[in-house]
Amino acid sequence: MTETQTLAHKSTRQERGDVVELREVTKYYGATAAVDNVTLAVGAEFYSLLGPSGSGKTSLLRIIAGFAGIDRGQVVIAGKDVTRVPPYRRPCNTVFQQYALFPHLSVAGNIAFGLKEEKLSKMEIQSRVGSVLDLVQLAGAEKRSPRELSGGQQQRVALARALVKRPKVLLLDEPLAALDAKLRKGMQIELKRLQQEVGISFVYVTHDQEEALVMSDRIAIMRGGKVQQIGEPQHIYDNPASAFIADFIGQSNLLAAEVLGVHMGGIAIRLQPGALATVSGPPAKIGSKGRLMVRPEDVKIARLDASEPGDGLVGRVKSQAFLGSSTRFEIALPDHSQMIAVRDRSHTERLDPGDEVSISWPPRAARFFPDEVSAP
Amino acid sequence: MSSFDFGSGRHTTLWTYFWVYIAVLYLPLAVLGIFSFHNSDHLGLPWQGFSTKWYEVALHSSGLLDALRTSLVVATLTAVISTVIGAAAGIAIVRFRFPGRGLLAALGLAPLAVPYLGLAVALLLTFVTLGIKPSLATVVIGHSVIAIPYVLLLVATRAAALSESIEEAATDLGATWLHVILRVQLPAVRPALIVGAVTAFQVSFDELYLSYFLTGFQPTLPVYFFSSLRNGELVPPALALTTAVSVVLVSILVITWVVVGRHLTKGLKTVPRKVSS
Repeated sequence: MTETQTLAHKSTRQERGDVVELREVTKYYGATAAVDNVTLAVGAEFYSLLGPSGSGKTSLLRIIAGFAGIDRGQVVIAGKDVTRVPPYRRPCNTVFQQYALFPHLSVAGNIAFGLKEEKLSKMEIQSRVGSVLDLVQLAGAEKRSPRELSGGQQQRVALARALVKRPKVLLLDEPLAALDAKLRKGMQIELKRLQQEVGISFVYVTHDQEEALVMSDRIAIMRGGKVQQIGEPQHIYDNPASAFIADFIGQSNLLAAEVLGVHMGGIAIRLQPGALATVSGPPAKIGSKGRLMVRPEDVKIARLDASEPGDGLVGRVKSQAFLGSSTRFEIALPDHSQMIAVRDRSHTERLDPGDEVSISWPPRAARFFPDEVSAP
Repeated sequence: MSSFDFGSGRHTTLWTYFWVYIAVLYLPLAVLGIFSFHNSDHLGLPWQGFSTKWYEVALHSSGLLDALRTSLVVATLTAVISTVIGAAAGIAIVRFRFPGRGLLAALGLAPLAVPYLGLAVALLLTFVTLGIKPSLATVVIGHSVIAIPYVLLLVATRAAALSESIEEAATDLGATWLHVILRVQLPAVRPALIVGAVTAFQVSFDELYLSYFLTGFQPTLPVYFFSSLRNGELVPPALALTTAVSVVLVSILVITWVVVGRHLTKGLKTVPRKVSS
């Protein structure tokens, strides 16, 4: 069997189940909780932990791997409680951000390292090493030494070294962070393809939301040690659970707003500049303050017709930037805040800086997020 | 060995200075080497002819040969002991975190700051107080103390340059702590171990002060030579032997550094900086 077939075969048992389960996992560093009561489950999918610096995503990854202990909760991998099990006995392997290849060993030596620990026969080791090198497209590089390889190649050796152990979960700690943009995009596609081919769980840590959107089957967004939202990329993009997530994922406009009333169509909002709008969203208390979120691509602008004043939002075009397939407008609002609108090429009406425009959007496309009352 | 760019031009002044410096350093030794072939026991001009007779005398002088053997034994033992202790300390200080780490580093390097003569007297007093008589063992202990810092520095420098997740990677792949040390850390610093051992050997071999105080009835070669200065007869043969041995040792040192030295920095941190997350 090829390496791919073996790995895929082994994982179909878990395909419909959970491979990694975290139950109320909490870890303290001193008085702060780096990971705060996290509960989640990962199947045989590409699962990303996404969040800004300090959100706890790397700590969580290290907890799954076994490099960090926890103060509360359980870590379960493939049905077994591994909370107290050391890293070298867990069925998972890690690809480190700095690759951590062994400088004194060749490519083959690096990859075989984990297999030698398993005390496999020489023939078995050789065959597995060859298979996995094919998988990462580095066939023939067995005898090279790590320092002779480019960054992308080293990373593939690090991948191969982990995958050859046939783990149930592959953990990746921002492996693409050190690569240049073009190589990065190429590797994103390759990693995605690899996960689909091999069929095991990939748990991927990143702070780059674009990367997470491109690669993941599901994303868990983390902030301050807590999981804020879990879902498929499209779902999170369309239905962010908070203003923070709306801002973090993709681009969004966030305008100060106050709830005026709730009715069948949605929530009536007064925007600070003195205009009214209706948005969808969970019911909110009348009088509560918060922010209205709408994506730039949902914002419609049109030259203001002075003969038709209304109670909608108006603004003045500050700048426009031609982005090729679309044009991006910065629009100044009466209260000195601003909005971004992005229009594709189908809009032919010309708008220049200084023009007054009316601004609108479909109610379904906008969302209201109440301001957080207190910081927990 | 290094990729330092000295810029264009042949830098004649710099090279001239370099060779003059080397000459000033080594000419006196060369002179002594020449006089080991002097056909007279007078260490000065006029030149009385070329002869290898002193080498013959040296080869038949049991006292001299014994001293040589003692030096070789002591140096080898010192090399082994200081490499083991120095490497362990060097790796521990740089790759692990534990309370007292700074103290260990300071202690490990302290002998470099101590005048060897003072150290020699202090060690002798300590041994005498403990009832231990001067012997080969005491000399080896003394030499190891001064050689350990060299090994420690060499190994620690190289160990520090290793990728920071290397131990975790090994553990992740199934290695217990013992295997992490034996299969990853030690092999990764191997060039430093070799150079460190050779350096410790050299430091021990030509060490005079500690040996003088701590040696029992078996003098090392430098001690023997030093003592022989009082007895004019012994000088030329001792000189001859010392010259021969020096040539051998310097050659070993040079070859080791040239061959292994270039591997001291190779193959390290091949990946650019860590992106904080």
